[in-house]
Amino acid sequence: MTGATVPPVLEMRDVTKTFMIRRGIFSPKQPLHAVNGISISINKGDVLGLVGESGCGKSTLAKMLLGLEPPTSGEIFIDGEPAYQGGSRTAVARRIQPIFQDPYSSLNPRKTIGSIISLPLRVHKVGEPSTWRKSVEDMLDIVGLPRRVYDSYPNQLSGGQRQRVAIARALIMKPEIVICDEPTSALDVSVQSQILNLLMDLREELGLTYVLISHNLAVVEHIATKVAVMYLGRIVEETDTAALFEKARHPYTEALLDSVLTPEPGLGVPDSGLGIAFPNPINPPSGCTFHPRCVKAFGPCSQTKPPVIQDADGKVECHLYA
Amino acid sequence: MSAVLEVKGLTVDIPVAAGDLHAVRGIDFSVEKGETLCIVGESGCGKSLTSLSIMGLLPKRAKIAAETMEFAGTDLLGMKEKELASIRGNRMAMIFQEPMTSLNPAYTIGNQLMEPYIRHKKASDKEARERAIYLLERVGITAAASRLSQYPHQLSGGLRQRVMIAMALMCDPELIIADEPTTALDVTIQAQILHLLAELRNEFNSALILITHDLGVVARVADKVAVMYAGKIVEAGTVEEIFRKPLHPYTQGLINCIPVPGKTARGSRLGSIPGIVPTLIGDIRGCSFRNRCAFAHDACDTADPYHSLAPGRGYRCTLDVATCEANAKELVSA
Repeated sequence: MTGATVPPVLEMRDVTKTFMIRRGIFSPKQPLHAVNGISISINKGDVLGLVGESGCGKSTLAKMLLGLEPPTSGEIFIDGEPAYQGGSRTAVARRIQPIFQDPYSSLNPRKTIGSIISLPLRVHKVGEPSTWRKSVEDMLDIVGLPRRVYDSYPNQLSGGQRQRVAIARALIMKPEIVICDEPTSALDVSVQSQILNLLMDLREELGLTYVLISHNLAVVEHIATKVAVMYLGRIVEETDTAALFEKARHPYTEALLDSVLTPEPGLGVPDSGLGIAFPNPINPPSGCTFHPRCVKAFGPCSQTKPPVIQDADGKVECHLYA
Repeated sequence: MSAVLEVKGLTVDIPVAAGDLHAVRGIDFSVEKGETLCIVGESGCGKSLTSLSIMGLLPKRAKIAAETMEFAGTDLLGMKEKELASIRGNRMAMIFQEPMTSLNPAYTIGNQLMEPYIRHKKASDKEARERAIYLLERVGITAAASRLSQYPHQLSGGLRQRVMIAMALMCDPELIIADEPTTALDVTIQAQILHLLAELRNEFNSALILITHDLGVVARVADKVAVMYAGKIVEAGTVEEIFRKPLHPYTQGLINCIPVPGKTARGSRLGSIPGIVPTLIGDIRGCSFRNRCAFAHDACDTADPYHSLAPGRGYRCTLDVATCEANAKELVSA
């Protein structure tokens, strides 16, 4: 991306997040590297799929992008300008908004839909209060909810409708970037597809950029333009969606892809060969942190950290390609 | 071969403030030794209540009735609580969805694993302990002996789910009911757990009822499938029949909703089923899917006949087979 006239809409440079964890009352605190040196850039209109098992650091990464957790080191840039400097996150919050996984717990049950969606407007004091109702109603139209739900409460809506409310709340500030953390995994199959269709439409209409965190690789394959695979705080492979699903390079990506259960009868349950032991992040394995579970591990894997290989096919962190 | 579980005309009504909620409305199914039956459906379709009624674990106020509900030839409904308790956890066992909430946080893993074995098989502590270690190893838990003294909170989600499976297998059950056993887990762990369930089913020759909303899981593990919608089975058949030639518009819609890597064009619009599930309170007439169905017509307001095409194969719809097959073809070629 050197020399590009338009800076990426979102960029992370060598971002780390270390938590100090005490394992017992009297034991000293130990560092847990939840995010361990991540550099990634996202162009306007891209959908970055972020995949990995639970505990790989993808939610911590999302929290840092939203400014909910300050990075331990490294920098985050929005449109080429450093974000979150000076400690205030309100300016950035106008440009990055989240959609959370569970629309049953992410909406306040005691507030009306109108008040939930207009809250960002009130917090950021956008425009005249008299215009807020109009903005909310317009937003309800955009996400496909009837205007009459304005005075309803979350418990009067179905799961799919609630997720539409969450989307409306995220979009009311007209953000450039939306962080979708498992946006459909709490929903029924027939509703999931409606929400995915809506997200794809909105991206086109409003020119949004998404960071899509999901463990459903079929969903990622369908709507992401670019995929980053995380393992123990590192991005181990990053490439275009088409390239990743055609020819995964990192053995971990291969194993993840092998584990996807497509609705095709007769194929049986795949065996990814990963074994069960997700390593302890406080005491990660030596060398390549994936080597104990890797079916292709060889000599150097347990000894030295794998190099980052950047080429035309994307980025991969593995000794196999050194 | 006689069925391990035979259910005919099962209904479950739950009294609520506005009247009776007809959660399960007359369903038939059976499952044999070594066979896997998947019950598929969305939330609120009655699939979990079905499993709870087999286990005799329905809430007290629920009203249950059935023409037949036989487990290995004995009537489950007429059974006294005490008799049922001697079967439950012994000859039939259940694996629940949330291993976080269904394991008791105040007891060790060992304690919870050994209890049913000691109780049902009149085994000694030592025998139960050996059995527990054996099964923990079978489900792929390393250092099994040392796990026995751990509490649920010390284990990860995947490990807890394995413990749940081991617990269900303690007494060598003839019937295992697994309610969304992998929904809360990572894809990698999900594949391993399903692998394990299938392997254990073969080894112990148990019958397995798997309740899920994930069609990927169904396609890969089921022998037979029953699709539930609004308390009724709307389509039943072998896994091949359901996926290759789905007849009911709801089944067709569901299959159309999910993106399949390599098949669905990337970024294309996914199929969807508009509308929401109707309320099941009070009198329900006609087909309950008609308000969401693209093929609904006048007859659907009053009738939803079941067409039985072969033993274990059929669908519930006013459309005839030829029309449904034509719709299916369109779907498969699309």
